[in-house]
Amino acid sequence: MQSPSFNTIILTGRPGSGKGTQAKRLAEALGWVHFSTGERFKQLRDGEGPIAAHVREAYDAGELLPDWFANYIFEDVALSLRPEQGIVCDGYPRTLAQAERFASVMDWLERPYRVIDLAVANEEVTARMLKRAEEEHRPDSATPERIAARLSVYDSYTAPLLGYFKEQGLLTELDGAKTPDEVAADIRAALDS
Amino acid sequence: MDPKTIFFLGKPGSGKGTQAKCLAARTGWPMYGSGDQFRAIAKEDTPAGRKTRLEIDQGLLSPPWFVEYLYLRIALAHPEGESVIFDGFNRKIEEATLLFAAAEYLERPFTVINIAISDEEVHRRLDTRKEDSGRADDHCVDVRLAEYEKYTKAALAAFEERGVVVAVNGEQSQEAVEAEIARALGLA
Repeated sequence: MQSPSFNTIILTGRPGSGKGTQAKRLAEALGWVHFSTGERFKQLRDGEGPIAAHVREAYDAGELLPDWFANYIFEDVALSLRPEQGIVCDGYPRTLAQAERFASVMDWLERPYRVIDLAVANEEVTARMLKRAEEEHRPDSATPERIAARLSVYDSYTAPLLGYFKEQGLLTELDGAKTPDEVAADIRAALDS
Repeated sequence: MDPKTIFFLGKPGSGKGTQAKCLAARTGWPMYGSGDQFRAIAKEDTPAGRKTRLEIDQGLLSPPWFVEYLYLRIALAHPEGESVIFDGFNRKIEEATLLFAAAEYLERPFTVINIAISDEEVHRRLDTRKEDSGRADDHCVDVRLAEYEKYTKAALAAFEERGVVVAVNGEQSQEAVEAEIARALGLA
């Protein structure tokens, strides 16, 4: 697979859209760093002290971390990258304010980027998350109510950032409801074009 | 004593850097200066280093998010229950907003020591200092004062509104300022 002319890829999508799976797979295929904010969130949640307590509160309610904290977690990774190191990131940015910060940081670091959105309907991601909750014991996605809360948060806070990237011609929208192999192939095709 | 989190604020040449170091020496608390951190990064041969060097040489503040990043990197790693001193990281309204948010998340209230001096005094002090300081930005006094007027006054107002500011008269000897700060913090 040819290396693209940009060195940063963001995968967006609803909770349960497969962005984490695809991001990891894409990073491996490209030989790039994979950064998952969701995993970082979980590590913080398991810690001690006031921060961990705040993170647990947000996680258990299916809410987002404050913008400033999500931004910091990403910057901590981005600023340690060498220019020639690529990165695939899923789960950040999650709000329009984070998207604007992300764009500033990328501009400052002179890192061209692309955003790939995996579109999957609420019903489908709900079914996927219920199944995954069984398999992985994840309390935040354990009930339809909690899943609905996360999806509502997505619709309110995260969906608007797609317009922000689309306006700049940096967004590719893909059908995330296909099989993982099909989605992976679509992502490669989108990056090669 | 509850752990203290101390910030310093003041015009260029107000002595905040000196006073932050004095307080650190008196108390043994670690002190982190944003200027020192920027200057250290400017020496690095990295994308962040090269960009920072350019900005310092032009006497400009780096983008708001960068100084916020530098602050959080320290604050989030700093041991709970231990006091700390910061010089900088609080010069724009966005930074003030961040400090309030982080303070709530970390459950660490903070105090801002404002060292007040007149613009005339700024010019007098920096005209003397720039010969020996080795700081390229000491030659951009007017630019830095304009930046203070444009950005830092608003941050100071935000801190004052929240009642976290301790005002100190900066137009006295270094020792007198130091003594006033120590009294204000209940250290003397």
